[in-house]
Amino acid sequence: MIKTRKTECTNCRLCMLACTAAHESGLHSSKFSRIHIEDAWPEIGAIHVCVSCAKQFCVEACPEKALSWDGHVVLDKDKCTRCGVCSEACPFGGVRKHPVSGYPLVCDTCNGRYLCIKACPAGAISRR
Amino acid sequence: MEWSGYAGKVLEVDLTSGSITINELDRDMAEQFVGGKGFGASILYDRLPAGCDPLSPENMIVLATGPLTGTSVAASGRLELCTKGPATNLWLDCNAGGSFGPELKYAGYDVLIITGAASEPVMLVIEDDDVRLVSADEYWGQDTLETSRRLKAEFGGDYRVTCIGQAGELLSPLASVQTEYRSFGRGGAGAVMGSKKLKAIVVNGSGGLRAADSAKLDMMIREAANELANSPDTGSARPEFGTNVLLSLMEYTGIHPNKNFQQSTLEGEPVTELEVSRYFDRSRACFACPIRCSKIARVKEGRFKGAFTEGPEYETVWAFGGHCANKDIPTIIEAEHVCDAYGLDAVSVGNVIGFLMDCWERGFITAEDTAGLEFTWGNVEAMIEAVHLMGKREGPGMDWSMGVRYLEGIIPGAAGLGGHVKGLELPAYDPRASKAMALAYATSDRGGCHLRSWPISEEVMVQNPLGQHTLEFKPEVVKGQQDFYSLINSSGLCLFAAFVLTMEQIAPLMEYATGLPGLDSADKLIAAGERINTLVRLFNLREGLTADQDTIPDRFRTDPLPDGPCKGETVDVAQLVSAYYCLREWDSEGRPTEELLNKLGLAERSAASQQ
Repeated sequence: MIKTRKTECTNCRLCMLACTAAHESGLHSSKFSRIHIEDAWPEIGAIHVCVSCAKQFCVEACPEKALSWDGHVVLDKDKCTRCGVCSEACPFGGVRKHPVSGYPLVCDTCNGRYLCIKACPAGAISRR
Repeated sequence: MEWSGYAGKVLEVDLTSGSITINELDRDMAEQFVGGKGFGASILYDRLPAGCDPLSPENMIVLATGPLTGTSVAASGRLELCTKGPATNLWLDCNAGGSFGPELKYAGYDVLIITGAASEPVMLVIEDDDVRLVSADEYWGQDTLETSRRLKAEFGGDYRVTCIGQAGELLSPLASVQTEYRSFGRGGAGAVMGSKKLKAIVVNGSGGLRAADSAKLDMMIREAANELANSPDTGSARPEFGTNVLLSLMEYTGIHPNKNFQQSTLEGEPVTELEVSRYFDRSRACFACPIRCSKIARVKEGRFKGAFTEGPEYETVWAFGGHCANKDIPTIIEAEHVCDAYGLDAVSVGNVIGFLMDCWERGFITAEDTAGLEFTWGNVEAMIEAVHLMGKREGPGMDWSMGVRYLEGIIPGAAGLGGHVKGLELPAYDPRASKAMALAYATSDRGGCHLRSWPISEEVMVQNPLGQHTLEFKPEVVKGQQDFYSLINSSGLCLFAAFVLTMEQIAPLMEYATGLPGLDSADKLIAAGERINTLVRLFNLREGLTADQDTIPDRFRTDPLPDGPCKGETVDVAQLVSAYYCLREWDSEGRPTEELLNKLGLAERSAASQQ
């Protein structure tokens, strides 16, 4: 589970690069990330990522029951229709959309390795 | 071909006809000139008509990323702007961080070339393959902060904006191009954009980049990130103080100039990085950068309560501080804020104001010349008002915003009093206190600049330093740094990372990212740096540069420093320049020799351009 400290964030987006690389093998980009730093220029915006909330808004909202919980949100691509309801349901901005395939992107903890946390030079994200 | 590191495409927009073309990146150019500044040099040397007016439609703007821009390599988000500059009438390139460069590559382009001029204000919108010119009527006349805010509100926060302010629209050679608080600051690139009626460029991309050898690149990325994190510079001092980390050191070594380069000390305690850092709210990093040297500063009380800027940087703290005999940090923050808003180069603007104060104190100008402003040393009211007049180019601000060289020519008695080289105002290092810096200024391709070579590092900041006042090895250091810096400004890496990383760490990053045989060793990369500098030299010679301009203001030779740690020092840069020419394999007129051009593979190009 990821804890964010907004005031420490420098908007460098190394977490977004690390997240993209972890899930899109060999790709260098910030655009496929499950963690997102909101652009609030000239200020620095909030960090949006799945906070593993108890209410599981996205799981509850999915009309196809394509999302489930197993230590993190798990997507069943066979059931998903890419309708985007899960993304709208999440009040934390923790569900993003894959820019090419359209499937929802939610933090899967990189099998507990949390590569975004390792990439953050400023201590803005940590394990809860 | 399949590109790695590079996006592989060049976008060209002709503002006169409105035509938009997309071409494949030239592989030979990539292997010979790397990216960034190298691409700018290659394209402008081949295509810019010799002797063109920088503010005419004939001039071009090349915005070029490097092969590392947009990758996960630490501190790699840089972008180069190359053009013919209005301040010097010579080569101009500026390097800025932020997010625009990576976004341009995610949209699919390594290079954006802008030619011609529009008849009405326009802006360029780039969304991957969808590229269009749209009217910018409603933004013309607005400052850069308002323009950026409104464009991001109109298009979306994740769109990146590069734009000019009023100073660029009004063609001041001190005008910068701003990209969300980062600046293509020096040399008047903003006026070139203004002359083309190009108010802004907005970009959003949805793609990514591939590496030639992902596993090996990842390993080198981790090594570079660890090196930066463990360095006392990039891992500690710079994250804490930003570029202001230099203040105490420059004061202690007597390099920090005061009062228009007249003194090296001011009465009382000097301004230190600790004092400046009290105004820092938090840090902001450029894309993919762990160093986070940019600071968001706010003034919370007093006359300038509410003043806000990203900075102030060391150079600005000098330009509006010591250079104007001012120690009030809130006014420095306000001055930088106002410069950013109008789109003005804070270094040159501060330099001009300090010069005007010097002229005032000597009686060369009076209230009649200054719209009533009293330019006594340290008069901050006059200083801030002057920035406004320069940004709006109103009243005497019209002349002031032409820069120091122009003012020396029109203020009786002021000849020789200005601090500039080739028409570009000097930054915050007294050349008498750093002999190598004198040479770096004299031979910089864009005039008075500290970012072609910053040899102070070798004079005072390393083990077994060379010392500030010996002449030995200074040409070697300056040449070596110039070639290295030009390579870095072509790679997409930030100089601040390059100060810490070694070539043995940088070369594998380039090799594994691009997979190009021309970029697979440190030797080849440094040779590319030399090739780029030599081609830029040919460009400048073609534009009429002569060897007698490779110098610094004569007063640094004739007037000894009156005080401070370097009291009594002068500098005669001529003998350093001669030695530097020899080392560069240039003749006594500063022209690259045939042997050198052959060695670097530039002979054909040079011959073609002379026909």
